[in-house]
Amino acid sequence: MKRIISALTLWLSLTVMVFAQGGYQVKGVVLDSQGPVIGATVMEQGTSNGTATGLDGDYILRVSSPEALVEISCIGYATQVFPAKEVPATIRLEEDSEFLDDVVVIGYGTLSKKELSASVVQVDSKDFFRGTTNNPMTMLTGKVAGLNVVTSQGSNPNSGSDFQIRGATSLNAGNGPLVVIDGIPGGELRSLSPQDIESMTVLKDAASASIYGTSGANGVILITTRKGSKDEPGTAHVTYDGAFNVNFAKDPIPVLTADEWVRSRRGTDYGYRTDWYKALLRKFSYGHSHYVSVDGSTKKGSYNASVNYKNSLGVDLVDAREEFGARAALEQRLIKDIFQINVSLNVRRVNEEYGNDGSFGTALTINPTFPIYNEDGSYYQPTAPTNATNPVEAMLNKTANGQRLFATGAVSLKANFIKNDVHNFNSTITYSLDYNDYKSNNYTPIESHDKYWNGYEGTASLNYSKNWRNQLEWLFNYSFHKDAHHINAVAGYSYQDFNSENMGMTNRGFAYDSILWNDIGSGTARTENPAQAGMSSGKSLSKVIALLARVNYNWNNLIFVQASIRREGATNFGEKNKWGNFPAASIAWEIANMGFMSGAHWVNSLKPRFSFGITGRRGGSNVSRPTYGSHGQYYMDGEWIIGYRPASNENPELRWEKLMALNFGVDFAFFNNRLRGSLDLYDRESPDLLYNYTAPQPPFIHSSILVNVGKTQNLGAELSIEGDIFAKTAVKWTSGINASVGYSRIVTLSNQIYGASYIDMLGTGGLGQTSYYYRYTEGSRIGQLYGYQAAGVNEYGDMMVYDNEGNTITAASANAAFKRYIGNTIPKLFLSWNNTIRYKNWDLNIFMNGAFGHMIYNNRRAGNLQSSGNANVFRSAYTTDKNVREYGGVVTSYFLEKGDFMKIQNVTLGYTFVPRQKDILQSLRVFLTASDLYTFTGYTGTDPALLSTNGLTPGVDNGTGYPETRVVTLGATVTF
Amino acid sequence: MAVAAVSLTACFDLTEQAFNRIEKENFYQNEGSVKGAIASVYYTAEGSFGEYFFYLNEFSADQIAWRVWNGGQWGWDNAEKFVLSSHTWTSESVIIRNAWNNTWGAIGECNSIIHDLQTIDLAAIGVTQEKAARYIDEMKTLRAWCYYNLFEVWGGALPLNTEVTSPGSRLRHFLQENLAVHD
Repeated sequence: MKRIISALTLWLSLTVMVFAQGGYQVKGVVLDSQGPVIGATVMEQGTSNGTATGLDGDYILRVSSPEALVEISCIGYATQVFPAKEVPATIRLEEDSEFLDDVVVIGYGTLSKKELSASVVQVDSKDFFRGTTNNPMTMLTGKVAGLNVVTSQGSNPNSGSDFQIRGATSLNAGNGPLVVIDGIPGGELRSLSPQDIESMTVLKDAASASIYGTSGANGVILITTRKGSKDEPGTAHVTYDGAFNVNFAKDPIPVLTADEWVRSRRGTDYGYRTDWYKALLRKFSYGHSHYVSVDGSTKKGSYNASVNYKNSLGVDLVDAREEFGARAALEQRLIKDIFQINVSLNVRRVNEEYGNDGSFGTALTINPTFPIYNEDGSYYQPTAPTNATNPVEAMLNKTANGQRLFATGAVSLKANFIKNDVHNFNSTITYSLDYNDYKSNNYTPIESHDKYWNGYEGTASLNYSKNWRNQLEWLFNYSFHKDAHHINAVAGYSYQDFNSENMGMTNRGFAYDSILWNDIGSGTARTENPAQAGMSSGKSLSKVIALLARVNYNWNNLIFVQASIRREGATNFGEKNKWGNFPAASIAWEIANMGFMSGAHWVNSLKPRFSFGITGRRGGSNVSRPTYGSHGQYYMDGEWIIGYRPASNENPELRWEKLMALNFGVDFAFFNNRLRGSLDLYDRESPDLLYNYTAPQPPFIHSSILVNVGKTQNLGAELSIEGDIFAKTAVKWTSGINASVGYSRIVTLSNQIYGASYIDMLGTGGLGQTSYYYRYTEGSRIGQLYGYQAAGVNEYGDMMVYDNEGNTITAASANAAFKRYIGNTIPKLFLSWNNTIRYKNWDLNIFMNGAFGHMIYNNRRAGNLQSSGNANVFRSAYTTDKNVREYGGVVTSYFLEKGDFMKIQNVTLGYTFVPRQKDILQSLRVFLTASDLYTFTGYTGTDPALLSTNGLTPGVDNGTGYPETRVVTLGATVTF
Repeated sequence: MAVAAVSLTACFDLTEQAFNRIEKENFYQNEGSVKGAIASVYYTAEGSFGEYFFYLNEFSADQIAWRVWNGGQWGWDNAEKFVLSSHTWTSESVIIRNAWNNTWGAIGECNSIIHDLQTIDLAAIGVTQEKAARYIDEMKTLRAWCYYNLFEVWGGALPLNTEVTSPGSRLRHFLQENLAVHD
């Protein structure tokens, strides 16, 4: 097979000089793994004497002497050099993977991959998932060991994902990572179109994230968007990327059919046969997206502009999302490249339409013999139990939608003070504004279930909130390269403020439905029944200011050292604790470059590294000093007086949570980068945890106070391996796995002043109960469920549980002291497996994702027993659980099931076409993707891949029953 | 130079602002402010513990009972009252926990107002000594009434505290003292 490598351009750009007399002649053939290489350059090193290989890879070159060095090179291959007399007749070129020279984006700068000494993983857009995404974060599912992405309602276009890096270590201040978009921390991921993203970098350990101070404790995800091209000045490329997807709903958990229901359940047969679940599904659920961008380069800069449109319909009758976005980025160098200006603007408008997700749960448990409509066409209204609704009416008989606007703009000015081969010193000032707002509108009509149960004749509510962040950053960059020493340093100042304002209003008692919420003042409730109307507003501001510095030192490509410090202050904290220092250091040793390894050609990289860092988390606002807030009204001395009291117990000692982490890792690449990967081991400890502890009353006014007390610890390991199993054959196969193991535990919950012997989380919400699924004590692991150990069912159908002596007793009469830890809901192992097979222009990607070693509490089964108050129940009530009549509403191991699963997440077939003549088309790629195909699992409830395994209270299946879907997407990317 | 100095402090200014609150040092501005603080105590008392003490007394006896759903629009209360009738309450049951928290909260607010009226500059806010004394007496009475209700339901050995304090050393001192109620 002939390889054509821009033969024409290369040929014309070479100056061919032939020595007529003397010299030495070299001739031969240049091949690669597939055959002759056309247009490879063969030249005498250091001169302009050269030639290019012809159609058979052949060349003849006359050089000055037999000792002259002959260099054979070609784009995409590693260059080879031989003395003229030693040039082999057949030269075999090896593909040059720039793997280790890849530039990786790290916080406040970039570094080449080989110089990394901390735990950092970059994923480029070519490795992202293709197919429909509601959220750019889903493109990273399973791509990075230690990053867990869960999307609970993939097919509802308005749902988000929750993601977490490594284990949960904070009780109150959040466990989600910081998202930084083009250097602006705290951005909103959904303000970007997935096609705008060029790469995403995950900073996993504290050493790499500590430069973000109190924002970095949970790891950082750096997103780099596309900027203009770096091609020849004056060229521009236009790209169109479009996709069309269809969603197919999977069957729900089976319930009794109407006839079975009539036979087996108590309740009146109204004579109809209604498939309620199906009645809520849209006939044809689809979506499409279109993206057009222009990337160009000019003599002194580059530019990028794009517009995009996306429309997605959910699987239910109502949910939908429409997005319009536009982006522009411009870079211009001035005055002999001394100055550089970058300007960027990203705007996005989103229109959301909301259904009623709870309707699906109702649809499964409602009497299947009810009709949907009455004889006269109005919705049938169930009369029992309290607040029963007709699920179709609940979903359709209202109008609810929201509009969002995202706008981000950034301007930066860079001045290059010194730029030569040894020193490079420049400074950049960047200002950015990140704005988003959200208006939500809600109207329930005059005739609705609301009127039947509550007497409200029309309810309208409006809510508006806006958030904006100003950021100013002034950085100085210095780099030094001489001989074996390479230094990269950055230092600077960063200022961010976070502003938000919100307002809301509700009113009831309207005369005309068609006006919806557009005349909310006209509702009668405001004057006649003020308890049914309301209005509210709020505003907040907080700031984070920091000085930061970092140095990277590379000695001879053998030893890499990084040290950084951030001194940061935040308005949240008490007077004495506003400022804190967050240092970090890491070191790595590239064994493959050592002298003693020069014989081992199969080792390209073997780099152990060690890192340590301190980061933190912020929490609590306006609780470090006394402030008075409004509290009700009272009629005194003939008038209404607004009550005021201290809004919270103040804590002037309030400070940030700390996270101190050690990370030991090894990066490796063997066999010319055919086998590559990394291994990480980590220990993260988080002291000074913020939590609301019981405050003794007296002397305190409120029953709780936010203080820094507890400590958690998270230990774990991650392994990432990828191999080109078949690389040189016609059919290529690359396979990779990402695996992570780990656990978190509570180390302490008390100090000398404040103590808690336990913390309860996630209430069960049972009648008259205040029981919880999780009870965390000192030493317990995160994810341990707390309940009774089941001991089967007795002859009367009562669930039996064990007491503390090993005897059994009915669950309904069990004493709370008999509760114990019954299982852990956090997986012991997260594993994902990615395979890519290529043949000529075709590629096939199969991606599987799974988690193992955890339990799930199937609360859906618990609510669907024969004795449940629902009309209809799951079939499991008459099969698996047929002996259970009464279980006392408690948390019991009877409903625990293994949650292990392996899901075929994504299968993509693609075809890439790169034409020989690039005058019309640069490239074309067409792909077909099927997502969420099948989940292998023994768990009988909601698809375990959709249940959260992040945070402090995962693994309890209270699923709403929103349909799970399979999605098929057809898309194309064309570049002109 | 002055401009540079001013903008430099602005670059490092971390004073927290609350837009829907009043800073404590600015709160007492006139007699209306004092009344506002007192209104809050009555609101706490009226909204929660007034109703709840009735429930605590009556539902656990046998004259009235309230089922989980007693019919009508406001009839469903998630068994908050039924646990009192059936004697299956715990310290976390909603009515018991709220009655306890809110009553102690009211006591704390009374202490806070008494302390404030004794320490702030009354003349500056236009409140006469005699009016202040009357308000203090009103708060003392309300505080005693709260203690009485607590004593009735929870019995003796309640910590008696008439001071306002903040976390740290004062609290350790307080815990060591371990006061009891005298009637």
